Amino acid sequence: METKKIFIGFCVIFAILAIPLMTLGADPNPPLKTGVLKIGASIPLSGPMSPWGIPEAEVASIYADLVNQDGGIPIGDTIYKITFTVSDDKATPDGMKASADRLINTEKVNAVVGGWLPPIATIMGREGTAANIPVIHMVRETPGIQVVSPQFPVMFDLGWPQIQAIKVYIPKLKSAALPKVKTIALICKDDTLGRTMLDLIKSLKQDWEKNHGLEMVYDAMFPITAQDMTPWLSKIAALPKKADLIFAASATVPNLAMIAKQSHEIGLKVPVVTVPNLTDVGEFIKICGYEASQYVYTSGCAPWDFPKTSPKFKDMSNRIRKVWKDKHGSELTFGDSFPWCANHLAAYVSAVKLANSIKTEDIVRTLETKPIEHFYGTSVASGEKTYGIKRMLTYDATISKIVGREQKPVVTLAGEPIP
Amino acid sequence: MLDIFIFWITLSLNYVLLATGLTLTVSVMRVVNLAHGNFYMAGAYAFLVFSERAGLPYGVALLLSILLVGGLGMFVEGKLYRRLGGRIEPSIICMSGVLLALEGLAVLIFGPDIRGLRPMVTGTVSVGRSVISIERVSVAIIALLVMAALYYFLKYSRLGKSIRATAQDREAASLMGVNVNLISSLSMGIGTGLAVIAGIQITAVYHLSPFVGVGALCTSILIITLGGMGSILGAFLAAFIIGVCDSFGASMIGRYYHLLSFGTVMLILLVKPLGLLGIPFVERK
Repeated sequence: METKKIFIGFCVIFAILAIPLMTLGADPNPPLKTGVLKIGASIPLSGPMSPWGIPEAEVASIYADLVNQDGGIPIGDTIYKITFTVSDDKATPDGMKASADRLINTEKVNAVVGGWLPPIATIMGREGTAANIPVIHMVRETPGIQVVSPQFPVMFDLGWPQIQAIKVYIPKLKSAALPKVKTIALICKDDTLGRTMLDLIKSLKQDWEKNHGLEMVYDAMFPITAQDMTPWLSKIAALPKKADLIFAASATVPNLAMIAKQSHEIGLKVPVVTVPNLTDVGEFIKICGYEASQYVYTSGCAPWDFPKTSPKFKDMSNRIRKVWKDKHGSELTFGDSFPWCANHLAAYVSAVKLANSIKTEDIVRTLETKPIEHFYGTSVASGEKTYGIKRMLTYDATISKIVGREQKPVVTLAGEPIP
Repeated sequence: MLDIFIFWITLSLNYVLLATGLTLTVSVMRVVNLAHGNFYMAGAYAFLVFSERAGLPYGVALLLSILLVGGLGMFVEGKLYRRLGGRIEPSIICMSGVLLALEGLAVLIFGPDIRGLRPMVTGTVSVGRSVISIERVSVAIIALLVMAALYYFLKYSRLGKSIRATAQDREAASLMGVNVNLISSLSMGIGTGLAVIAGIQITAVYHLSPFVGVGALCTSILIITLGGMGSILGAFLAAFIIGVCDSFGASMIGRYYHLLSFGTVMLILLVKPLGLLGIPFVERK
């Protein structure tokens, strides 16, 4: 019995001494495992949307490289490096389907981020849901297509509410920068988005007149292929009540350049306002002429100019600018490459860090419940309050004016619910 | 109304410039050069390189662009089109290949973005209550000058007469000692050169991208079909008819204005199936 007690006592003392002795030789910072986080981006690299898609993809790729250079993403005992794969969706339904197949089935990505393709993003939502991988896209543009719905529980929308913001776009611009504007001529391109915007704006006619002193004196649609806007602009110029502002709500960059140039040519020296953003201000000025460009207002703002961007993301956006300049020898003038793909990627990386996991369930829960930081501030899933859908992440919009050879923010539109 | 009238005149003369080159090549080659629109686009890009990247004066850049792309047109005619012997199906496939190759090359070199081209002149003048763009007027004047030069070249020069002879009867022209192969190449070179002038002038008014060629081709085909395949005077008349449809149509009926020009062409072709001044190729051998 005595021997047994002595033996147990000896073992206890040995254990007490041995444990610290064992740790003496151990590395206080055990080597972390490394992992690969495969992120796919579905972006139009060819076709008519490619002028937006190509810089978007490049900026997002630079961002992914910089995250890797900064040490990657630590999750538990693993450091994840991003492998960023861009797939060309051609901005067509077939292209998006092929892109989804490539990214999900061939590349076996952990998540998909997208650009700005509202109607056909549905396809990526369906494929991502089937494969159970998170999808972050800009999807809310087409009314009636609720892609961020219970059907696609892994899909998130991140962006500013473009169509909803139309309701306050001109009134806010008027109060911030153009107080003398009283009459508006409205021209939209003849496609789904253009028709939607035209109908919406026309429905606001009484509200704008009564509450904001804005009268709509002309509205028309032009074919999307139109290069010469003179017939429509001549009519605006000949109106008995002079238009103080031309609102080309859904104009593409070429449309806008032609409207600005030709309205200036026929002596209509009034602000030309549009909602879609510019890809390259320098080239835009070359097309429509310096003087005409000085009347142009569009949406969008670079993160380095955006008031709500955090210092961390401002720094990151400036580093991206530097890499761009080193590579191309020219300034990254179109900050608007940030709002979509790079921003979606930033939101996904933030969600992964917050969730401390790369599992879809954890990331989806994090995106639904926690504030997600990105290049344009911090967004919280809107829940039932905003659009009745939980997976909307909204941030503020900006209207910018071309001043000299740069775009400068004029007014910020709240990304909060717009009644 | 004066605005729309001026718009009609300038637009029609733009169309004249665009379609004349194509109708010249059709008259000699007997097939529609489907790559015509993309030679128009290539010419504008060549000008962009010479004028903006190399910093050459406007006139020098214009001349070099005409020589370069015109030479390319002659090369394509000699090495590709001529070998197909004017057979329709292989020619269409071959021309489509050239069209796609030029477009793809432009995307590869310059990217898909739209660009602005340096105009020859800028500014506006006021006429009554209307303001007219000098840029557009200059395009119209250039179109008139080019047409006049082409008319005199074809009517009075030895080469011009050879081109007309080849267009009328290739075999007879050959028997009369005309080198029809050289004439074909030359016609292609002149036609492409005219496309280059049109490309440089018109894309400076609007904008340039690798995809502008297809629209230019469609307009040109519409004009030469209405004017009569191979008839330069017919193309001139047709350009003004299409111009009136497009300018007044867009002003009166808005976004569906293309229906007016296509509808008009169809109606005229019902009455005159060969176009306004068309002569069947078969009669000309």
